[in-house]
Amino acid sequence: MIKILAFAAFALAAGSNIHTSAQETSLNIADPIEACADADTREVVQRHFQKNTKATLAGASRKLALPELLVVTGLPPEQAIGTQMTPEILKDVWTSMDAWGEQASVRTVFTMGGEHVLEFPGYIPVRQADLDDGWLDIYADGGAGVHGHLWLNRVGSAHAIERANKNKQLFRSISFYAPEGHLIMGVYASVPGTPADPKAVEGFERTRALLASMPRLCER
Amino acid sequence: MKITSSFVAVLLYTFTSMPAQAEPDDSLCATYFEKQIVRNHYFGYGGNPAAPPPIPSHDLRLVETKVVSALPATMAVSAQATPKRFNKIWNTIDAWGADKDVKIIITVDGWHAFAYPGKVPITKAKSRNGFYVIESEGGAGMRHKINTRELSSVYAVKLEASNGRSLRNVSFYDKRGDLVFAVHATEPGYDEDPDLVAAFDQTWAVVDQMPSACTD
Repeated sequence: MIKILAFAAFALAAGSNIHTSAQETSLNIADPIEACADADTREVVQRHFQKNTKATLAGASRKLALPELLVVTGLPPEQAIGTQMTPEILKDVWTSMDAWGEQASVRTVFTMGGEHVLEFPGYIPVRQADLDDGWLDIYADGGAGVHGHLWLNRVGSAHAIERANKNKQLFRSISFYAPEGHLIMGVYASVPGTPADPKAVEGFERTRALLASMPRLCER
Repeated sequence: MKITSSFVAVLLYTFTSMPAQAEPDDSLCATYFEKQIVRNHYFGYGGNPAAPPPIPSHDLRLVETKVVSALPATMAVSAQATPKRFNKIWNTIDAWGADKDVKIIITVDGWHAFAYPGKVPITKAKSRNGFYVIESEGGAGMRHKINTRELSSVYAVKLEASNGRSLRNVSFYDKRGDLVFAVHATEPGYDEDPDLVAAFDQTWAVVDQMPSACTD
């Protein structure tokens, strides 16, 4: 009997160690950063884009060794409007993107911590039934396109970004950032060199207006 | 042969600028206990033996390289990533065929997940600084620019579902063990293309010949 109890105690301890081990190794979650670029960072970022008219946000992030979020909040306020996300606000923002129309053509972009760039053309992914399970499920093209799942509590902020290249062609994106400062995904309504879908551009303007009506992430 | 100082300088630059040979980073590999947890998740009671690795990674809160490195060698083979090895591996994926349907999987931090259907992205350009560009449908489809110097490992994974069909994928990981992207050649919910299955086996064989991402 004592042996059985001792074994049970050992098994319990081992089980709890296994659990602890898994929790300790965990996923790569860093601490949240201060989301707003200070005056020096704003100057560095804006000078970088003045000198490098073809620079992308990811490229600037890499070159300047800054989290991409600080590059975005370092842009002049007329180029980027950001607001803090909560699960409910994120759902509202995506509902406004649903209204771009299921046939609105966009490019979704991922930068994977700033080292890689993955781009996908397609229709805008729209919200699926809200299961209230912590996820925002977004599918494109009636389910034939991308299936995406955003974990609502892990989205820090959303930004409407509109920048011109040297030929005055516009990048327009609604971009979502993690609390740690890296891009989760950018939904581009227009990219220089590719014809923009008017449905996406008009939708972008409406979503930008929605973000502009919310409290600003950074007051300057 | 006259050896000039500029020739010596070029040689020196060439050798000093070559990326160092990759070494296994065992901190990204499953420990004994993590192997038990992962295998139980896949093959224990109520498990899903063909779950795409991002699912157990998220459910168990384990960095994804720990999930794939926990799988038996019959189900996953790995390589330490270098630009040269990436090139060799992607050459075999080019050979899957530009007209074949695949799915690209992306996760961000192991939390957010995306699955994009499309055609096989084919090698478009390579740069000497390690960037490798792949695109599908002659540039009309997806386009990815991968920094091959910032990868830690590559895994080829084959997981058989209860219906006899398999998940077959090739997954590329960054230096923190997070997925950069995976290419799914087949999934249990769809008919298997025999040509794609054979082509995937070629990729598997090439990865299997390379130095493994984990010591054991």
